[in-house]
Amino acid sequence: MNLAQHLEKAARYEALMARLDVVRDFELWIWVAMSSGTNVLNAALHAAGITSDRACYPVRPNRYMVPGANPGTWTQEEGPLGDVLHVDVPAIEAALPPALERACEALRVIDDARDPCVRGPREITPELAEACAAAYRDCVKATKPILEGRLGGAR
Amino acid sequence: MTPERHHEKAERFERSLALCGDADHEARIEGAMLAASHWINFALHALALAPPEKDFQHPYFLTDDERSTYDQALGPELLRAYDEIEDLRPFYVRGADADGATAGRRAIALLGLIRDGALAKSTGARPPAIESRPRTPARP
Repeated sequence: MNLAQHLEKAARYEALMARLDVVRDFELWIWVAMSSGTNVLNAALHAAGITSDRACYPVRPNRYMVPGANPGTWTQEEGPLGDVLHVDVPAIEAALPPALERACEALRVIDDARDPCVRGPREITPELAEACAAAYRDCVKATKPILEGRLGGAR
Repeated sequence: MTPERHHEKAERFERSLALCGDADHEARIEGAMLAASHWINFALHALALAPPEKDFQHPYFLTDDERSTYDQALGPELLRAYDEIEDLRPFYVRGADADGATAGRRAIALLGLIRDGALAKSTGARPPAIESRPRTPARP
């Protein structure tokens, strides 16, 4: 997806996060935070010229849905790195600027709590919820200069 | 996890999904997928088709034998409905296809089908030990 599409999704995810209670709705909240943060990261990676923003949809690591020969048709194929599915999935071999390293580090805090709390029985505490909320804010803050540089301060 | 914990997680997701509207179609699709996985695990564990330490996650992780066993026990329509939710994800969650609102509503409808099927198949097998809560109301 292109940069604008990622940021449009992130804006709608953030609007939902504001309606969810971070503790009572934690399972959906953290999934939405992870999704929003990943879109922000993808936008910043595109803005920095590190990943491709071509029109393709990631299905699984290194596999993408790409437009087929006829309108409305799609095929799966491997291709150069486009959108990442999660932080570190797939791994990015290129060196990242320090700001994007910080964004990835923040997203790892969210990603590390995601499966144990969503699919597993890890206890959801206010402290954990706040740590994840702070990590989300850190991710957005770290990517902001790169996105503002590309968008001329729109975000 | 135990069937009781899956039941509880599924209901927590459904309560949160009730706060989503048409603009939140990605969250509806993702939340429906996750809640549905808990309902399916609830049924699989309640029916002793899978031990609590072996949770279903994505259909493409199942062996042919597992898929066949689960289809026979739960009815093929449950995992077909789950497949359909999964198929929405590349285009509407990881992609930006048009009319995401319709896809989001479809995911919620499929979740309802999976929930009702899982509960019906599990009736009498091992009822949940936790208090039942209202189900997700329909929202525009």
